[in-house]
Amino acid sequence: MNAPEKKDSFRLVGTRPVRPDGVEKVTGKAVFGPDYKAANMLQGAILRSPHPHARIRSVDTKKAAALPGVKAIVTGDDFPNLEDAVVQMGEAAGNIADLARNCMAVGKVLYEGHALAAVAATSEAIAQEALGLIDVDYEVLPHVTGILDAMREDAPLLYEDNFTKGLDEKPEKPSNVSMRIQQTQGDTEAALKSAAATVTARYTMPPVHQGYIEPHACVVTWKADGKLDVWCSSQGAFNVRSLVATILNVEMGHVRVMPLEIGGGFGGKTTIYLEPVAALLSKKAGRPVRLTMDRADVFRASGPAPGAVVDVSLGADAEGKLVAADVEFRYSAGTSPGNETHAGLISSVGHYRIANFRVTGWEVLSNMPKHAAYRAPGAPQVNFALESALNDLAAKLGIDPLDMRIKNAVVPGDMTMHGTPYGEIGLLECLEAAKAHPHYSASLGPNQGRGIACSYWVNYGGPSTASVAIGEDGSVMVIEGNPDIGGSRASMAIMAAETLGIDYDNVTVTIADTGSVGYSMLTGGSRTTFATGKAVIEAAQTVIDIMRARAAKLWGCSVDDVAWSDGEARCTGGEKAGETLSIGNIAAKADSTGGPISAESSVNPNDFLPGFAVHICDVDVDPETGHASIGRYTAFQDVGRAIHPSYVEGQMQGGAVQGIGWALNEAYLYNEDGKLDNPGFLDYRMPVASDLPMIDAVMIEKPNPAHPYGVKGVGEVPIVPPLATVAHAVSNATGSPMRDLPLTPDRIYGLMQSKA
Amino acid sequence: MPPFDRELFDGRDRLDLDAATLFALVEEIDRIAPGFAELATVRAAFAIDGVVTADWSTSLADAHEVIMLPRVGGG
Amino acid sequence: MSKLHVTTSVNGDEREFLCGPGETLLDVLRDELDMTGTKEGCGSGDCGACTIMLDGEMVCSCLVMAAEAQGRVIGTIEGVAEGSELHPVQRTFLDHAALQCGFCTPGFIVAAKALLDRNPDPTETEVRYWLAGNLCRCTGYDKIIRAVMDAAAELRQERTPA
Ligand code: FES
Ligand code: FES
Repeated sequence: MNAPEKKDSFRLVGTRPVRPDGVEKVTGKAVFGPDYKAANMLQGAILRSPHPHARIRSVDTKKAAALPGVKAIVTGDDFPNLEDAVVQMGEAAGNIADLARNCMAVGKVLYEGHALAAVAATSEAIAQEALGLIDVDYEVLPHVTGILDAMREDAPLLYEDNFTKGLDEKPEKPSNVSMRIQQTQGDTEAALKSAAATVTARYTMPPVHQGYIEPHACVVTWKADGKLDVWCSSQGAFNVRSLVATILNVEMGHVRVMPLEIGGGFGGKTTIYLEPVAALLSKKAGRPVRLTMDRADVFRASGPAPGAVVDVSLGADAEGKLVAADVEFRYSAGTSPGNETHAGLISSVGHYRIANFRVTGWEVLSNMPKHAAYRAPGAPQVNFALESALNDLAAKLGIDPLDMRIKNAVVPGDMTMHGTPYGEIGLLECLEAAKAHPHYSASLGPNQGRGIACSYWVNYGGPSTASVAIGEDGSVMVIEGNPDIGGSRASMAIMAAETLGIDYDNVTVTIADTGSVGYSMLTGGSRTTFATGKAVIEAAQTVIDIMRARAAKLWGCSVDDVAWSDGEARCTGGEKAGETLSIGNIAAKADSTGGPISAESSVNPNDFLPGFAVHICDVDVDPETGHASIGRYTAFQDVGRAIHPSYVEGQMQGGAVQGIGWALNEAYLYNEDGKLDNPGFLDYRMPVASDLPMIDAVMIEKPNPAHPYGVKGVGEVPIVPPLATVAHAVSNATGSPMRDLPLTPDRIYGLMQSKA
Repeated sequence: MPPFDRELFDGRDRLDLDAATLFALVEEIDRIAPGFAELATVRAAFAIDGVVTADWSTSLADAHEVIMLPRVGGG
Repeated sequence: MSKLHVTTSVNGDEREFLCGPGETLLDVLRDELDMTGTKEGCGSGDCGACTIMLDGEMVCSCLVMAAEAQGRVIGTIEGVAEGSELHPVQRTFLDHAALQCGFCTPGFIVAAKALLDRNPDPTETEVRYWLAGNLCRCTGYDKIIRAVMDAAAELRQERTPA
């Protein structure tokens, strides 16, 4: 398994070594978010609203404060900074006051599970008991959770001062619609009218959760000198630092965030929930405070991905060339605006050449938790609708659905929806590989169906810093600031070792705290191996230049006569020509040639390329129960070049299975009282091993010319196609179109019955 | 022009402006649409003649077209 | 609140602890005994992150009251490797990249070892059903199943001397 598969001229890129943090993780020694303890730490607990919407008339904490062992109590009034301000949050922008009010309600609670008070005590049991002693006087308000309900004129309003943004004129009346965006090209209506065939349908899906297995947890100490230490797992320690500092009105340099190992995030850990609360408790108590969520808290109060209602009209000419798309989608954002609607817009039709389109997105607020990013955030929902409509259109025209896509796929040089040209993209290669794969032509039995879909995700670059330092004995340390959520330490070590010409095992990789390395944007957006990788490579190259200069000094030659190859300096001219110096030799003399050898590199690359994926799925539908099971699944993806192929396959397989869960089972179920009916893994049913076959991952390597090793982002696009792929397969197995997710047995059975 | 915050621009989606750099351009737009500059810092990305550019000091002397894109975040 | 005094064996060591009547074995392992390799993903028996061995049976430690451990024999992830010698399942997890975030990994390894201890030659379907109580959100299970099958093959070779 560890035998290198040599590729091109690379020694290490494309091999599958054991990850540097592996042994710690298979032996239970790695320290994750909930595992960290500080000396003399208090345990905190959070009081959460039982109501989906209520005014907080008063919060009486006197009895709780009197309980022996209670050391601090915090409510929304303790939050110092509630000024509206748009700041960088995660990878998008958001209002810091929204985030603060999500950490702790002020004035109103906006969803079931909204935090409104917190206690720190000498034990968990005492903290829990104290919560029961807090008296809250609620004025219960009418609530709304459904998207279309929330858009109605007479819907209960979350905010009296929310006026829809993005309309041509500011509306006169407030509403729950936070934003409309629209992009048009050509004359969509006319093109639809003259199309040879059209499909018009509505597609719906409820919100779903990221479902990371590690619940949120943190330990914070607000020290007597006014500085804060934060230990938590997140997708970005720097992001936690800036959000905590801004909410608490402290200098960023006074907040030091120690990244713990992260037990899954998928976008859900690009924001904060507990840290400012723990900080305020710690400030009052004068001791470190730990806060943790249990699973029900995670479901009720951390971000689901938006649910959606999407209308699509799609038209093509007789040959199957798409001529027009009219897409109108509505996303539920929970209590505050976000970024998914933009992403939904650019993910909607960007992977096809369509001369005429009109894409309109609406972002709708309601009494559900503030949504959070989830893997290709905003793309799967609209993609499900568009790809499903495309499959119907292909059937109507009698064209093979893969051929239909091959006819319309964007290729390098075509324009994105924004009007910038695509670079070296590999959508067509993915489609052709899918067509040629034996899966696509394998025969199907009774009650079986096959589906396909394809998708696009923009990916990202963004700011990153990394440093490379040479130890006194020549060992090599990479220090970076991006939490390793799926094996990225291994990729960084491979890229550093490849650049330096040394063995993989000679490199160690440290994920540093915010006081120990320069800024990096968070791990997310499929950016880490690309952008942070560039910083690592640059820093390694600088270190090579330094070592060449040192070797020149040791040899007494010009630096131009020092080459670097196979991990050592080689003298190419003068008396010492032919001699070599290893990194160890150079490091041993570092102090007498100019001092320690290290380099830090900061980058902000924009030459990332998008990712494309094509999935094929076979399902078996049980005609007696309507239960759909996945029989075979193959995922094709343009991955640029895979630095560590196993972890690239892992992204493809994991994303596909999350998408399968989204298609078949997962759903936030709100009851009439606005409460979540399924806040646990028993009723929020994620895929388990026995639900699935192997997920065949076919990597299409079309390198990104702008990255030294050809990296494109790979993490997000694989969650996009499964929704339409699985729905297409079930439709083909049953003969009924599947337009509403999830495809639970009762829904499939009902559709089969109504057809019969 | 970005497909967002249209109300800042009275619905216009194309502007003809002269500016030496992206910094100057953002300032210029902010004059037309007050509040834009603050939003742009965290929310906008720019493509100069089709190439997305992070460095706002890039000269626009030879540029024909600047496209403004919302910065799309990932998970 | 009066605490209960419990004596038990954990990974071969005799351990004593005091616990409240409502505390779970998972709480005690993590908070009292500082053995945080066993994880909590749900606290309700639905994710398997807290899987341990209790008198040779695989259990969710979040569903076992701490007081029930009196006089019993507990095995946790911390006891799977012998010193620095990894168990074959641990090694194949590394070789197959069967972990991404690694949070579910201790539970899977304890469960997989329990399977292989009783059935050295499981089919893929048997592995999938045995591990159906363990949630992994990162990997899609593919590489986990391969790692377990591979460890089984390795163990069979070890057991049948050539
Ligand atoms: S924590 Fe015990 S099964 Fe999830
Ligand atoms: S590796 Fe992350 S949950 Fe399994």
